[in-house]
Amino acid sequence: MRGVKRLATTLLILISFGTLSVTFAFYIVSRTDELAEERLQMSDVKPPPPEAFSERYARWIKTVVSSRFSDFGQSRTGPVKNIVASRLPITATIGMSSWLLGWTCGLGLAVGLTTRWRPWAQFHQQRLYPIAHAVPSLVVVILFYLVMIQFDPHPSRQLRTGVGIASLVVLMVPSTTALWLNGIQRVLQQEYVRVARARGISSVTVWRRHVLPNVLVSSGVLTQAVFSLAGLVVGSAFVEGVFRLGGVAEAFIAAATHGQAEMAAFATLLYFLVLAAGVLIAEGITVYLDPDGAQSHANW
Amino acid sequence: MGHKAMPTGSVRQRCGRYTVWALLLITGLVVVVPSSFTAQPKREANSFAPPSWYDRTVQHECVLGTDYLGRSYAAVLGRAISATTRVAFFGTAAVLFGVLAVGTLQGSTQSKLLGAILASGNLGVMAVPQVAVLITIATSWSRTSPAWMVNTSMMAVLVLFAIPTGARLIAERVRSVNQTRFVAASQAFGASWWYTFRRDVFPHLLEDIAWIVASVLPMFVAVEVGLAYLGIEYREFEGLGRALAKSFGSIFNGIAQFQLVVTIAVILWVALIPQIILKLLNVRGFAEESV
Repeated sequence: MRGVKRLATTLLILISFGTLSVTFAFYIVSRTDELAEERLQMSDVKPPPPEAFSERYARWIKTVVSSRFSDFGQSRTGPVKNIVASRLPITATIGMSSWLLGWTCGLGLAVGLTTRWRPWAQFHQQRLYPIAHAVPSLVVVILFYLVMIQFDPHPSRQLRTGVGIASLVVLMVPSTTALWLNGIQRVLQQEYVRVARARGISSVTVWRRHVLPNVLVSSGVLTQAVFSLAGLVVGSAFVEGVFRLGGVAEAFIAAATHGQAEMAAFATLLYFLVLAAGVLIAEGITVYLDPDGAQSHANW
Repeated sequence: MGHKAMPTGSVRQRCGRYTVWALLLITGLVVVVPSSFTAQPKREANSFAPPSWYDRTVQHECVLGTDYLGRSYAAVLGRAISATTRVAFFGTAAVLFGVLAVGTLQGSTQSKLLGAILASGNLGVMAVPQVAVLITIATSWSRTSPAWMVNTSMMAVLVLFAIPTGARLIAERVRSVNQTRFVAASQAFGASWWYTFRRDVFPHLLEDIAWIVASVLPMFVAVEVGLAYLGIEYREFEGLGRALAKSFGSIFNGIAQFQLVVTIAVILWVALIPQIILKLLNVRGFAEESV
């Protein structure tokens, strides 16, 4: 019962947060009409005032709802839905691949640092992680591009995508490792892990049945994993730009610069749908592993 | 008895420390007076000239060659370092002020309302990509808007995004220090709140402050660099981001590629300055609670 209540509250927060963000993005972008300014820059005539937000927003909502979510308005270069549909595959590939690889490699490294490479754990947490955290992501992406063109000055699209994903994974791994490691170290200190080991339960079973589920529920790794998508949106924008891949981020920037509020709002909506799906999955896992909320409440 | 020879490793370590301090001093001078080491960056019809100590065409040094506008790249880079670092320092100072004010207030009062605001702010900061917000805010201003207004709005967004995480860290520390016996003793002896905070609480916040500075300053550098690459930068501002973007734009030119590598090295140096200083001073710039 507590789990269902928790899921319902999460859903309510997500809907409010998403609606607010989409409306805010639409409002801010609808105030810009850079094209009109450019057109009239040399004349004495003042640029026409942008269309009132309320009218434009109401029209957009009406279009979206009346078309049963198949029409998301028009942009300067065509229907918003078509533009996003043509760019979404590359953004989704970059985002999902680097997210999965980043978190999996982080888990692998953290497990290694708590078992075989234990002496390096402190070095990672106190030296490597803060340094990696401070390095600007664009710089790493450009370095990867520089190395790539030394080997192949005319790389194929596939190679560019692969190297772009690799650069994002390298950017993510220190922080994902730090988060996993922090959670694993906390759980390993718990009494039940020591008892399980003393009872002679195999190491693999201890990790599978006790350590990893408790890390997931109590250390906040799941929440961080979902919210790391926000960081990936930025990283993905750089990868799409530097590796000349084209993606939703590029379209969002163009939309924001040229006052295409429909396009910006749709991109924001898309981002929140992904985020909401991630949050709900994470909440579902937590509720499944810890139905009473005892672990998560004890640690937060 | 002959004097004992110093171990080679120690001499090397000491030399390394002095070199790093010297580099930090030079960086500090470049930030304060950027034109003191190089020529003024003037436009000349000599774009991407190779590096030389003295270029006869432009009649001044070109240690790093010239950029796409024919300006001495060393001069351009010096100005860019100065601009970016000043913005980063100013922003970090604003964040630190906000974090200390909000964190101390929350830690001392344990207000439920402020606690809830900070917690939701922390979640919001994690969920909302700040670059997307910055792009939206920066583009909403018309082209005729004064540069300072646009830049201030962007800085304000960055400062607001950085405050919740740091404030929670400070609040937690203030709360735990306030519960110690020495703080209770200080208050029992009639010390004022300000005296107790300054003498007993603040010294315990230094490690957290070091961590906040070490993570916030690079964020300002990263945002400036990233936004300039995306074409949405601070207005009337020529920082490291623009230098990087322009070099990257001509990446297939050998000189531009060299300048790109130099710019990347400089960006990494500027972003890591707090970490380096903390290492030199043996301060632990890392907070377990922050991971």
